[in-house]
This record gives sequence, C-alpha cells and structure tokens, in this order.
Amino acid sequence: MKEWNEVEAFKDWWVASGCPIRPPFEHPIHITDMAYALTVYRKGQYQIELYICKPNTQTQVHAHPGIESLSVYLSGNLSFATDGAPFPDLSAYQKEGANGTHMLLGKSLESINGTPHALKVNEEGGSFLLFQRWSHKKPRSVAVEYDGVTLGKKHDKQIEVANVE
Amino acid sequence: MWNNVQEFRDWYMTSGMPLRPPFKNPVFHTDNAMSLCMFREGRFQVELYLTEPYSTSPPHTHPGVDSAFVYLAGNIQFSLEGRDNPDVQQWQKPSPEGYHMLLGKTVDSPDGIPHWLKIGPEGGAFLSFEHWKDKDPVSVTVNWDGETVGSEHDKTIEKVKGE
Repeated sequence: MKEWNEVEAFKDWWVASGCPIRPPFEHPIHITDMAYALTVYRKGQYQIELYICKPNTQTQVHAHPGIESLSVYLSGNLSFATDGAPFPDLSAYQKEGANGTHMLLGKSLESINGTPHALKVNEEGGSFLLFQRWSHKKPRSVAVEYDGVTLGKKHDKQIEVANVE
Repeated sequence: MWNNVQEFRDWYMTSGMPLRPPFKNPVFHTDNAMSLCMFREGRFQVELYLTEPYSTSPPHTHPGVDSAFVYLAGNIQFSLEGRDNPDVQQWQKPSPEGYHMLLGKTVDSPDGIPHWLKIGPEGGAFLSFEHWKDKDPVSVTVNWDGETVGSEHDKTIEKVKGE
C-alpha cells in the first residue's frame, strides 16, 4: 500500500496520479449549514475532501485537533485566516485564468497543523480541496472533528451522528 | 469535441476526470443540494452534485439538456418516467476495494423525460454530464421545469434570471 510521510507528499502523489476520484463507501458525505463535503479519496490516515461552500458565509475561528491539512483552491471566492490574522484580500485574484478557470485554481491556500483558523466565502460561493493526514484516528471529516463554535443545526446534527457511531 | 453526452461522459471518465471548474458560475445551491461544475467546454459540462440525507426532488426536466448521471457515493434512488427503476437499496454495499458498488454506474436522462431523486440516510453524490443543445451551460439547477425543491432553490433561479 502506498504511504506518504506528510500531507504535501500525499497531495503531490494524488495530482501526479491524475487526481483519482474514488469516494469511500463509509462516511463519504458530510453536510453543514455552510458547506457540503465529499471525500473524493481516502487511504490509511490520509484523505481528500472536496468542499462546496454557500455564498456569503463564514466560520468563526476553529481547529481540527490531530489533523494536518492543506487546502487547494478550486473555484469561487473564498479565503482562509490563520492564527488570528485577518482574512487575506484576494480580490486582485478574482479573475479568469487559463482555459476559462479561476486564476487561483490549484494554488495551495493554507497549511494547517491543528492550529486555529477561519474560512470566509463571498457572494460567488466557493470550492476547495482539503488534503488531510489524521494522526490519532481513522479519517472521517474535518466537519465533525471540530473544536469551536459550530455553524448551526445541521452541523450540530452531523457531529452528533458521528459521535454516536 | 463530442457528438452527444454519452461520448462526452466516456471521454471524461477515461481521461482522468479532469478537475477544471470554470471561473463563471461554478457553484449553485438549493434547499437540499449543492453543485460544483467540475469541467465545462463548449456546450458540454459535468456537475458534481452533493445531496442531503433523506432529501427528495419532485419530478422535473431540464429543457434542452441531454444528461447522463454517474453514481459516486451515498444512497441515491434516481428514477425516470416510463422506465424500470430498480430499487437501489439492494446495492448499498461496499465493493471489495471499499468503494460503493455502484461507483461509476451510469443512467442516461434524455431531454424531456421527467426524472426525480430520493436520497437515503447517507446523503448522495453523483456526476451530472450535460449537453446543452441550444444555449451555453449554466447549471441544471436553474434550468428547471417542474416543482422546485424549495425557497432557496427559487432564490437561486431568480438570481440567475436577473443576471
């Protein structure tokens, strides 16, 4: 079985392998009041979730304990803030790039090792990939491994279901 | 370029499923689903749909669009008017590799034939391959003939009409 020693190496392998989309049978989909997520690939302690985020939404500062992650931009208008810093202004990059895609497509946003962070999504909505390495338990979704104020009733329910199973 | 949606689907599935969302109109949402356009070229596109557990969509069509659906994950009962619609619960099992045993299975949804969805407790994820025959692609979420899913869906349709 292929193994990786860090999340960046996992990302590089996945991209070099043609970005295989192979959702697991077990716990592939997670829903919150802000975003819907699909695990597009999972192997061992590593997985990738694809997040689709609703327009004009924002998380409060939160953390995912025991999870090292790397976010990669897909589309829309979103930004991450880490360690209490303000959200970076990415308005200069809200432009069309090659092949009609977003000019930030494929750019790495933030590398987070369990540290507090927040996500803001503007009126276009947005989507990103989240590459993850779970250090202490089987991967499920960062949406349910969540330390901070939750996003609402759907999020609370999702966490409750995960804790019961 | 492709002659029909089946050719497009087959090309996409055998070309590494390129993840290339367009800058324009990539993300849509309704009361119980969200979509991301994964790839768009000319009058062809593929949207990823993620749907909430226990959600449904009433019978509807997407005028001028030939579609083909590909199963990814979860528990999705997709039904087409006038067709045999087998109960998918018999296939709610993992494959030997740990994927859903329906991963990659496809159903054609020709223009004009009503279809509807019923989602089980796991939620659902599928790809919607689309050939927009008489206009540029946006999202089948807003190219919708039939009862909508709810007020959020209505707002999304209105927003696009206003653009």
